[in-house]
Amino acid sequence: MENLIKFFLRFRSLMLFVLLEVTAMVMLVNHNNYHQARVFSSSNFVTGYFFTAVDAVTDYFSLSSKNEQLSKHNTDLRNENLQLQRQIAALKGKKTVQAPLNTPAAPDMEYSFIRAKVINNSVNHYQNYMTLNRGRRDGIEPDMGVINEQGVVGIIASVSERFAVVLPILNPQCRISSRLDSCRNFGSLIWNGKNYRYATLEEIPRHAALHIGETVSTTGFSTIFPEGIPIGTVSSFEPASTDNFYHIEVELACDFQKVSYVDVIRFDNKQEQQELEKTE
Amino acid sequence: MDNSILKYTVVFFTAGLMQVLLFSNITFLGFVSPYVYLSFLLILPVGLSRNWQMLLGFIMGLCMDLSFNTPGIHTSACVLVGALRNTWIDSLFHIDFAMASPSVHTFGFVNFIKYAGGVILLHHTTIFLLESMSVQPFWLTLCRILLNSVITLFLILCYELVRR
Repeated sequence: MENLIKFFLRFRSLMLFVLLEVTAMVMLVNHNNYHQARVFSSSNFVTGYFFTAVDAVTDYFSLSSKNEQLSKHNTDLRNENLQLQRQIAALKGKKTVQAPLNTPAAPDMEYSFIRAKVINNSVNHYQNYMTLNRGRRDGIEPDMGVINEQGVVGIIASVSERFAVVLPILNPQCRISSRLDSCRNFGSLIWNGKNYRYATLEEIPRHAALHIGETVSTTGFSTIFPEGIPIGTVSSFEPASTDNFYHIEVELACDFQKVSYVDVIRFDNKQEQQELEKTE
Repeated sequence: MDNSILKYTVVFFTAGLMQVLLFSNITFLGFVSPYVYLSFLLILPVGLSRNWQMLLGFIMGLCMDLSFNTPGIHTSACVLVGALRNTWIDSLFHIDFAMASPSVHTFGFVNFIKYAGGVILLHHTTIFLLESMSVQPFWLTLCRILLNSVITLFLILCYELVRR
């Protein structure tokens, strides 16, 4: 017995070494056994929470690429939605359901969206501009409307091969034909140059019945915006002292400080409509 | 002594966290994976008993295995390092370092490279051999061992040089 204890004491390092290595080997060999391996993997309680916490931080690094994907997906869905609407409109006009699905759509629905990212933006100048990372080669041309998921952003002012400059609502040169949703009276919307959240709606006659909180949206009279895209809501109004019109403050739907992805609206029948209007 | 226990605890966590959070995310060329957590085992005091070194190696290796999903591989490599480190130091130098912590200053630059290089090579060889287990061609495993050893050594030297 004494000899045995002496033996253990003498070789205690070796014993410990063998014990630890055997433990490690047992873990390694058992790794293929799913149920036992679960304890020694990143799915156990402590390491699981640890990596959840790590992911909460590192998640932010991939945020911009995820955003990009989502925005692309959004535009694709919007385009698909448009196409489906066209098909519904086309099918409604016919008695038979078996009509070919690629029938031409109503003239006012012939548009599609081009996705773009805002790469330069300002809200604090009197004449604000916005630059997009898409240009002529992506199909953008001057006088196309620009919207995002909140509402109207502005109108394309000029394009180069790869970039486009937008006149946002926050530029007094930009006048947008807009209407009050309930009474259908229309006027034009101009920025007052003070607060980037508000713009002025002009030329609404005094007999119009309007109320605070009412939605202001596009008229669809031009080839820039389709009808009914939100611009903002009426925040205050008063009769102007000098003429027969209201002075209406509109709170803009689009938060220009946070605009990052936009959709440029491309009318397919634009040229035809404009040529026809010119000859009149 | 209390002070040094605190110091080595801090090194333990720093090395482990740096490994898991930063260096494990490096996937340069698809097979570069430096194991800088080894710096913890490298700077343990020279006179520390073999049993302590093996136990600390076991704990460190287990932590790494838990985060890499490689049960046993890092544990066995670290225990091996803990068991053989004193012998390796004795065979390299015939000086008594008492309880000094191995570093560029106590060993000298060239001697530290010899010492760390040996330990890293032993550790990486164990890990990559256990990992590949004759699944991969031998020369590829050899390439990975050598390449990763050099990178780990480089990173640990960088850390050594900025350390006071």
